[in-house]
Amino acid sequence: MEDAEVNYLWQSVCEADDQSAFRALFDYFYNRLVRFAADLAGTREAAEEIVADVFVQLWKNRRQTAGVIRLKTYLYTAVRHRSYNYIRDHQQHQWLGLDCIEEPAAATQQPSLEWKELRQQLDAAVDRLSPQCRTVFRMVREEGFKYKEVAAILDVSPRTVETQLVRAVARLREVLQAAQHPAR
Amino acid sequence: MTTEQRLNELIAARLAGAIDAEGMAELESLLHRHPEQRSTLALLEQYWEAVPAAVQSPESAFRSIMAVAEPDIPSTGKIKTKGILSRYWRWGAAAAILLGIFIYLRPGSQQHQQIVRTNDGERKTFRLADASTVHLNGGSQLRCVLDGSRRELWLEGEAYFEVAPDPARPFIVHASGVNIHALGTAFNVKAYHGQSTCETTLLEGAVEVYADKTPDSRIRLRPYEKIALDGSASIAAPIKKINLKTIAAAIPATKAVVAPLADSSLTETAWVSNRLQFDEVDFEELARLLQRWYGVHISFRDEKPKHYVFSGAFAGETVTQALDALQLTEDFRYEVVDNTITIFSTSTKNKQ
Repeated sequence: MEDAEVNYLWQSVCEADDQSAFRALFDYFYNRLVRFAADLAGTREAAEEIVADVFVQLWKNRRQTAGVIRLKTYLYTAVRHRSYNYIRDHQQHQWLGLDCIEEPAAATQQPSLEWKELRQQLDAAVDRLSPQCRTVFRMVREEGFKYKEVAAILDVSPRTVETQLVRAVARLREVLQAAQHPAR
Repeated sequence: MTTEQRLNELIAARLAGAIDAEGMAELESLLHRHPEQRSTLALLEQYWEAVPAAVQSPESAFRSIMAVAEPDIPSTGKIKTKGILSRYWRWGAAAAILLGIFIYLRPGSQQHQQIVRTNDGERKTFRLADASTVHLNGGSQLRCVLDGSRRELWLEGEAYFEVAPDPARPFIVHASGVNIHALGTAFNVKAYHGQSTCETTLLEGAVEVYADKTPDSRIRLRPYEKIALDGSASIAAPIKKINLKTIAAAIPATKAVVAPLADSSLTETAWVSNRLQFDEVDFEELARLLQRWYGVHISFRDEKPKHYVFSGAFAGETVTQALDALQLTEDFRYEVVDNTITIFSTSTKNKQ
């Protein structure tokens, strides 16, 4: 969904209490935000709760927030805040600052892999990245966020975002090279 | 910095769209020196672009969110103010999507009314605020006004009603100038536009039927009785009550506590169980039924097939399977172009 469409829908929500527009925004963002929150908060259940809460507040405060926010950044930032609060309240282990987990790629690999298999391997490699690394990778790849936007949402420096993305790329390149040249 | 490290940085920047001309040139020269990296990069870019398709967000999550975000939406109970009502119905529309129901509110209207429609080929079931259930057959429209004192509905098309008992609020259906009064009952009304009579079939309980023009002559139906009334006739048409199922008439009494179910063995209500049933109808009439049932357009190229008479039932068949089945009993051919089916006798040349 283009930013313009998001803005248009959000405007309908703010100005006309348009629930179908709200539903469209929900449909677009819900699963992405749940995945984002799951990376941060650790469990899918917590993530769903967090995202639901953000949407509840979004609808309730639609008048006050009209025009003030860039919805996409607002949603991700709100989800991050709540996720951090969740971690704090539930005293889970902080993952921030953890490095990418270096795991060797799966041992038995065929020299010429089908794209689908390769893709599954890459997906698995992304899943094995450290949470922050994975979050950054997904935000840039799947949501098209700029380094600066990711940095603002995650409240880290743009340099950290860049570093994490480079780590993710390094990991994926290893997987690809292992797949292409299993002897190495 | 190693070449590997630099490649990672440049590739990351390129994927993120954060690479400048200088970086591109550097990446190019690195790839030139390490050509084996090109295929890896190509695969990585392919992967980067192959973003997983969005999954449909769960309806239930949205509903529970809106239930918290708009707590003044009554989940049950009566409607007090217009503001709440309009929100209620708009929210109802969202919830109704799940049931495949289209609810439309005319905000400017005097009464708070709800309109539900079906297109040809659609059959929808929905629950009214009073817990009555309505099954709406294809190509039909139902306007409902439900408030504290009455339950009044206007039907064009065909619907099967399972009325929740409420002696304080009579349940009245208006269709083609005919009125049907009911109290806790199950009945079918068929009154399509272009049909001269309004057909009422009672499955359980009791209803009273009368035409607009003859309000004093009320006809009381008993279970498994059907009446066809011409609401536009200036004098009351000869009353023709048809007893559909004499033996079965005793059955509802034994299961009085069970929610009334449309009797699928009965032609009049088979559609509620997703069965298109027809009894000695000519092909012209059957084509109308098929049009509404399947949402297709059917025309006849010549007269002869129109007068074929069919009896039967369709459930899971597609429209072409249905036509193929009809071809087993009568001689005709058909052709399908998009949503239009043309029927012609075998002797007619197929004009191209």
